[in-house]
Amino acid sequence: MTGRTIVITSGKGGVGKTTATANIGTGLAMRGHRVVVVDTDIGLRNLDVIMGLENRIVYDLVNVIEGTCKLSQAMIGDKHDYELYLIPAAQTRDKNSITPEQLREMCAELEKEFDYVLIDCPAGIEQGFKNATAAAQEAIIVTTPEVSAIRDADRIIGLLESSGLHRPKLIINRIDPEMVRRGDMMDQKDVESLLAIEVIGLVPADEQTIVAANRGIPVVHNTKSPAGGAFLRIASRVDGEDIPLMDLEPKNGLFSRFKGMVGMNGRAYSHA
Amino acid sequence: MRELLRWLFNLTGKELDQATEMLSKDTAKQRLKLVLIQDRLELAPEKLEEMKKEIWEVVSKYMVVDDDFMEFEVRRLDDLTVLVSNIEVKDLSDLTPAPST
Ligand SMILES: Nc1ncnc2c1ncn2[C@@H]1O[C@H](COP(=O)(O)OP(=O)(O)OP(=O)(O)O)[C@@H](O)[C@H]1O
Ligand SMILES: [Mg+2]
Repeated sequence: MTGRTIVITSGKGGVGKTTATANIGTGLAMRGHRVVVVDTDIGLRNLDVIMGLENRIVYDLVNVIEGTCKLSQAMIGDKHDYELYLIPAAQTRDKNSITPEQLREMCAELEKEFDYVLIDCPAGIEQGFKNATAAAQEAIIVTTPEVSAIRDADRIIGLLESSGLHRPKLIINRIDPEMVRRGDMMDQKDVESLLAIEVIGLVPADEQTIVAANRGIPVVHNTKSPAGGAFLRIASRVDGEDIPLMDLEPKNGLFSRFKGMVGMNGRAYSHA
Repeated sequence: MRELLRWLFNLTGKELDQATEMLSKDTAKQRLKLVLIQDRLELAPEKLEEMKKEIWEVVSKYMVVDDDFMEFEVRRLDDLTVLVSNIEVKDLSDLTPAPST
């Protein structure tokens, strides 16, 4: 078996890389695949808490690379009934503890056993970024519809291109349909025309994402939530299914705002 | 109203247009367009160098010019991005019409 190794990256911090990694990974596992997610944010690990696995960590990525433990010993099985595993980052080391070649080697090992290897990349364009991107054959860039995040995404596209990672896909996260409607937030077309790469998903700003993070259960488990549904569709697209992107704009402006007021909110935004 | 605003904030007509009429997402888009052009150029200095060389070669086919540009850069001019290049012309004689036979 040869799996696909995909890096999830952004340039700017805090735009949703870790959230996307946990949810796409879970989504792919829900579709019946064998999946491993790798946290390469050494020193600032977070994927473990988003997935609710922080209490099970014994070994980490640096232990594997340094040979302190076997690869299988550092893989933590997900709490749910899926073929989903996490390799956590080391918390007390720094990004120079591993090299791009070492990570590539480890992922090549994982590709033999898994359908998907997803790499959660740290923010920035330094060593951690170089490690994470060197290990992957494909890239997904996460951005928010904001000037600074898009600018950084553009730089990342350039850097990926020059390191041989062509045709990255884009996720636009934290879209506020109401702000888009008012003309106070760029929409898919705006972002697409600026960055000129293929959009693979639109994720609305959704407080359920934060509730899910509180509980350590990725929001994609709640497929009825706007963000959960969006992430599941992204997982399907990653998996090669051809489902169209739908507009996040509140369908019938006034009515959905009315629904929002009486607490039936959610459904109107739930396509992406 | 426009005049009052203009007077109050000492804005130019264009700034006033932007402040009062433009959607903020369009302002964002316009600003990003320019920033990205500049960022991309900075990311690809070799490309710029290559273009400079080619432009020099084309120009020197028609006139005798100095070996190097006095100025060659992409810069902002209000809300435009422009390529500014200046090169010293040493001899224009190649441009004089060929004597008719
Ligand atoms: N669609 C969303 N709606 C609401 N909140 C979100 C959404 N996506 C992400 N968030 C929140 O944004 C915050 C940052 O997300 P996350 O940690 O995934 O970003 P990151 O890119 O991995 O950050 P870092 O660069 O620090 O690694 C988190 O608190 C997360 O819960
Ligand atoms: Mg992160």
